[in-house]
Amino acid sequence: MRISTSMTYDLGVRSINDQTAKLLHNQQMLASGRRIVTPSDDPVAAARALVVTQAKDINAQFATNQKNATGALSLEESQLSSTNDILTRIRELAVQGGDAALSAADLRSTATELRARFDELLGVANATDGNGNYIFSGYMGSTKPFGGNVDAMLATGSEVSYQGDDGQRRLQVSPTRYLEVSDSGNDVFKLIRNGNGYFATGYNGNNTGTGIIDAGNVTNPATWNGLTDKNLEIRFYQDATVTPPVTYYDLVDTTANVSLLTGAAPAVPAFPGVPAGLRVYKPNQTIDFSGLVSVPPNNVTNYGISVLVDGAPANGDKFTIAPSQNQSLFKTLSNLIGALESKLANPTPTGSAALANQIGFALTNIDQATNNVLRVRAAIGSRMNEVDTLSSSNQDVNLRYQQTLSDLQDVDYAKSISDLQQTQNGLDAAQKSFMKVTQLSLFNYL
Amino acid sequence: MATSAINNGISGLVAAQAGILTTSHNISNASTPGYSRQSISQTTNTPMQTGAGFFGQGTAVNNVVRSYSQFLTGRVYAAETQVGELNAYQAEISQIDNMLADASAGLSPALSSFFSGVHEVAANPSSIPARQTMISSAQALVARFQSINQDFYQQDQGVNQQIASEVTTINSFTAQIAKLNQQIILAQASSSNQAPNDLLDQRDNLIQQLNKEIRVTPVPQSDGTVSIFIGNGQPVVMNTFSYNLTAQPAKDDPQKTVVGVQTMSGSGSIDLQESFLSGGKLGGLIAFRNESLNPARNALGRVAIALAQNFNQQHDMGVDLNGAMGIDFFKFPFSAQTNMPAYMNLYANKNNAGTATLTAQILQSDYRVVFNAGVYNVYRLTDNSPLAPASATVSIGSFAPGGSLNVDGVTISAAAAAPTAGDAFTVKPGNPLASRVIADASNSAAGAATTLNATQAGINALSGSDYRIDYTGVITATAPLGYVVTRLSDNKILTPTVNASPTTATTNSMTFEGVTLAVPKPAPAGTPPAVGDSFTLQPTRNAARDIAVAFSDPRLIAAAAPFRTRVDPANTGSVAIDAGSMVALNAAAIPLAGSVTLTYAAATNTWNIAGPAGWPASIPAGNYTPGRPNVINLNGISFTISGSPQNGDKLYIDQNLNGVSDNRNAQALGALQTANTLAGNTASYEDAYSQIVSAIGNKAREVQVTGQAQQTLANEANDAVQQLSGVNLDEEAANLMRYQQAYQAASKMIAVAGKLFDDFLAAVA
Repeated sequence: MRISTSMTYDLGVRSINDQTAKLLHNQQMLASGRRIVTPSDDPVAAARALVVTQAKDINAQFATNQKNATGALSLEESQLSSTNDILTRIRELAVQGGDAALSAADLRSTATELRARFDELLGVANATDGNGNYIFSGYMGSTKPFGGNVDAMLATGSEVSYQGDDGQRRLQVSPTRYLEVSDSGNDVFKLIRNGNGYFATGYNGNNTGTGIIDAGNVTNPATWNGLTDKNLEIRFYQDATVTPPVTYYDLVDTTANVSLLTGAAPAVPAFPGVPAGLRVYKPNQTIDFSGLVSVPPNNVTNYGISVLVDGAPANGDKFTIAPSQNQSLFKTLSNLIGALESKLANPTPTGSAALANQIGFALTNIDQATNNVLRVRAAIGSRMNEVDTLSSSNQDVNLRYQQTLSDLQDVDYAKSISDLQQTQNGLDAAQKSFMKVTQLSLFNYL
Repeated sequence: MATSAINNGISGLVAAQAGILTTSHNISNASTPGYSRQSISQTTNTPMQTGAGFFGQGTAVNNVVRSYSQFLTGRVYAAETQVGELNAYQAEISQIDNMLADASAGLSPALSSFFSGVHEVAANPSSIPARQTMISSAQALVARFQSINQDFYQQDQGVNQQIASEVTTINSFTAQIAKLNQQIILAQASSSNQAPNDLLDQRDNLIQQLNKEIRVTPVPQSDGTVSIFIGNGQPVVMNTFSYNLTAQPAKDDPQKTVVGVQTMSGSGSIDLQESFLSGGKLGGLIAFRNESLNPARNALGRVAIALAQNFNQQHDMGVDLNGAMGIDFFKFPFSAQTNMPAYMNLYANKNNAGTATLTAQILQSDYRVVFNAGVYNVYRLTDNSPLAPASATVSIGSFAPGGSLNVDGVTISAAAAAPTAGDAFTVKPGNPLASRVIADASNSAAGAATTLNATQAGINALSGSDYRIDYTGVITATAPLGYVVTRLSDNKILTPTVNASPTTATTNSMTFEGVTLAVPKPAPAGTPPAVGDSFTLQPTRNAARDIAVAFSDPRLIAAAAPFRTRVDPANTGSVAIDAGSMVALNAAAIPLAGSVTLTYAAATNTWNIAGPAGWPASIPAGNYTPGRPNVINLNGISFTISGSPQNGDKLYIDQNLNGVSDNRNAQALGALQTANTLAGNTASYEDAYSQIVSAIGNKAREVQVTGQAQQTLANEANDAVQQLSGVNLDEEAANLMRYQQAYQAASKMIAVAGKLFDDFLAAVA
């Protein structure tokens, strides 16, 4: 084969160029630590790295949201924990207020402390987070949720006002999970069933006896729930013509205005004489709403509930039974304060009975409120648990993404360094051989 | 005899001199590019006939020949022109290749940080700093779109300039070749057709150089000249004349510099078809522009448009911190001059005989189809296009059961069975097939049994290609309005959908691949173009340049939903309603004019609705089952009722007044990051962008690998030429010695002959 002189030079320079380019690329890879210096080095991996990077970024966003969620939930939880403490104290005060031996001064100081607790509770319900947003106002973060005071509520018998809404704030903590990070004040403080959750017993303010009614029991919830008329009354009549006097009671459906014992319109029995159908009252005895006369609209003989009345109801005294309604924690508290303060104004046995009844109702309702707060706290607890679980799986996912990214992009140092060394040797050889070959010439010998 | 011997000696002397001359010429030109080694062609003279036979008459040099192979040189041309093309391509594409996937300069980081700003607002909806972060990151994203587009634009300008300077280089080469043709004719004429080797070498070298700029076809002529053609037979050198190319703005796209030639009359110029201009640096530049730069720029614009329109559509469904409905978050300037969005390029070809102009737009809207008075009336729900002011209350068309209607490229059709008056459907052409038509839950039983179909259109149908629209005036299946639409990326002829348009309008409208084009109606209603007129449409080319954030007031971010749900506390049942979401913006019903009350009627097992005008009287029986979750869609609001209600239980849908901590819309905005809204619902923004990166990366790699292979081929071809034509100095040194010795021997020969003659004279004297 014929070789031209310029070929010798061209070939030498060409191979030196090639080796230098390789060396530079190797050096770039090592210096940047990246296998893909430009997308053209591995277009598929480069495009995939972009997508994985986004997934990793989104995952990091979820981690941030999880921290935010934990923050919001712990803040709410701490407020609810205070609420629990306050409720416990209120319960103590209520029990204490029911002590018949309590002096007027003690009663007054109890009432005073309860008023302070009311304000404290209102403060908790109107608490704000770090950004100045009200925690318990739903979506309306800048609106103060609760307004009202004991005096106004006692004067008008009104409920506390709620200006927030029922919205639950949510944060996206995983690709599919939008976690609730707030509960509306309505749900926490207002929407609490009074009484035993099915019905609430009531005390007629005009009662003159010392009868005390308990919260009652539901023996058959399905029966009770199926009733049309649920507003009932227990009416007491005393036959004072006999000695000792005998107390009778009637069970009345007040909506239909019919006696459930006689099946006729309720009437005040004429004494002396044994009123037909009415039952004889004995203190501390369960009054069972069964064995009744079936009358429209309910048309059942068993209402599935029972209550217990103790003490000595006077003639004409009434206790009411009404289906449970929502009653705010504040309303329960203001009712209790009202009862204590009424007792101060009416220090008679009747007043004591009224107070005893009211304290009984208050204790029932405080328990309902406590349960409601515990329910919300339990929900918060499980959400915080969920965040913890998500957070650890989030870290795993992050690690996986990082691994994938590293596999896609990162340089294999051992291989690259050995490649670098090899290329270096190659370049060295190319340079040396070039010098040798180009020095050869016949003209040297002419 | 002695005279003959002297003559023989002299002929040898002359031949050896010629050999030394040629050798020295070779040695001097050992490194001259394009030089082919020369040698003398030496033969014996015609012998002298005598009775004793033939006596040699010495030697003669016939001619000087160059070691040259036209075949090998042809191989070099072919290889070099490829190398030139690929090198030019690589030099250009490596610039965007590096920029696109840069960890800090690419679009990805900006896109990521923008959406993390959105999530920040979702986490703290009422926080002004969080909202400011979102606005700022949106501005950074927009700036990134613009800067990448600017890079593309500058590169486009660079390509234009390089094409212009390429044309100058080519013209200078062709002029030199024409001049050499002239010299070669003269040289041959004056030397009885001996080849002027050095001139031929020079011309071959020039052709090789020219080949590196553009692939040419040299055709040797019988008179010794070479004619040169480019493209599909466009002569640039004929005989001794050269024809200049020109660099000029393209007839169909004034932004693009193309190669043209003067017409024979000299009055005008025509553009050379780019698909025929391949090879060489010029071919590389043109290929880069058509295959990589413009598609990448279009694709980036497509991401910008899709992001803006999807984001706007969702943002419009929300409520801002002031309690007002959201306004567009991103905006594109509108050009009053062209009556189109400013990013939309629609050029009328300069050769058009007519003066008609077309207008185009990209529509992404939802539609509401309401059955009334025996026909389906179609309403456009959102209309962000200034071409037609937003109007949700004016029907844009109607069709009978069993028929269909085309609106904005969406074909909505219904079965022959008619529903009940008042039944309504929401059509979301951007959704996958399964969720494209959403029937209102409040529809009658007949309505629930009615199926509506809709074809897909809008952003997700955008292809990122450019289009050519030719007016033929002949109505065919593929040209329903007499306009042939060609997709330039693959030269496919598309079949546009003709949209319903009012009889009073002067234009018709048709849609292809997400682009809606308004074309003049035939005369006399409109002024159509002349037959043969053509238009170039670049729907997404400049969108990344034009995208902007519409406002800077953080309070205007619509993070909340326009409604909230509520359960009546007095309910005796255990019914629940979820927070609900917006699926479509029905401007007739949203924002809510007042509370909507749903009351459960146990007897009919349904929910009666009392609310502002536009709300149905009830959710009909059959659409609601107590005890399990029921997804209800009413007026674009979707919510779920679950649990077991009691008679008279109430649920409310209220206006979301002061809902500053509501983040439902912000969550929905954030979810767009991973939603597949592009390329027929198969790609997210990041996917679409990584497709650009991958396409450019692959092309760059292909060019690089092919370039290396081609370089090897070119090297081999050059080596082959060098093996034949290259000067080897060792060989020349040997030749030098050979001719020197021949010269010395011939001199000696003359001396001997002279001595013989002297001896003879001495003998006779």
